Amino acid sequence: MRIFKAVLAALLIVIFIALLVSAYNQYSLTLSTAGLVDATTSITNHLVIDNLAHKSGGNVQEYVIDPGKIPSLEFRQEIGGENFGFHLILFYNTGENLDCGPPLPEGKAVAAFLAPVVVYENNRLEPAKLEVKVWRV
Amino acid sequence: MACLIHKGFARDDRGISDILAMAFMFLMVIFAGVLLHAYRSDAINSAANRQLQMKAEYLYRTLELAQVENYSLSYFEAAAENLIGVTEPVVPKNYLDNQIGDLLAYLCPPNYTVVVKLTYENFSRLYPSGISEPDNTATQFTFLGKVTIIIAGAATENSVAQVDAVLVMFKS
Repeated sequence: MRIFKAVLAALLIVIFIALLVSAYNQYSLTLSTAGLVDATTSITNHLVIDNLAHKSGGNVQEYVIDPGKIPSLEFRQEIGGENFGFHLILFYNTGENLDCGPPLPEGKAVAAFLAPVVVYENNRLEPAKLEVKVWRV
Repeated sequence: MACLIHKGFARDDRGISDILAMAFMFLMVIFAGVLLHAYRSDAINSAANRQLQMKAEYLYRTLELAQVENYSLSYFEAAAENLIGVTEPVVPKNYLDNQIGDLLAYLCPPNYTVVVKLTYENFSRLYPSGISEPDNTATQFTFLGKVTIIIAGAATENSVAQVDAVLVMFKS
């Protein structure tokens, strides 16, 4: 009976430690994923209202993308002390795509965000979609 | 003899109580495990909701800035003109309804529905046409603003009209 109780107590301790380790791993993974999703939001916002924003007469037109600026982009950004790489695809209303940036890494978590945007093309403001895929470098 | 029997029963009782205590501790460990794993699991959902809120704002900006096909007016400007009832709207009503419907279908994220409501004085209009207002029970991502248009007067006077615009995105 005593041996049985000792084994049960040891099992209890082992299970509790295993639970703590598993919960910590899950907590880290959750925070890391949420951070990656937030980084994707931040990078997309930065692209749309700053880096890719169309300039007209010295004024920056926020939410209007100038596709001519995409090739000159540096597809890397630092947010909160962490470096992120990104890849973007611009889906035109006409069905054409503009795919730019480094290839997606293998074996790394990648977050994607598809945002409705306006594209300045042929002196017109056309609706389009911008997909940004982000990963940790 | 009686004393021995009494001692034996006491030892048995203690053994059962120890096992019961351990069984209870097992239950506590399982409960703690569930709590530990559930803790903070909503962080990803919160981040996804922030993205959806931003998507609602971007949808609003797209309707505000993008031009209706074959016209130089934006979707919101054309819709505001139709709502106010200017004598000759630049974009015909039926054409505009189709264009906004197509645009929302193209831009709306999968499994979500987008409703745009424009209000001017006592008149209001919903897009896409034929849709009803969402009930408040669903989780909604809302962005609102104003659309200002200048109506050319018959003589030299122009008037300014402001239309309230609300975009609501919710899970369908």
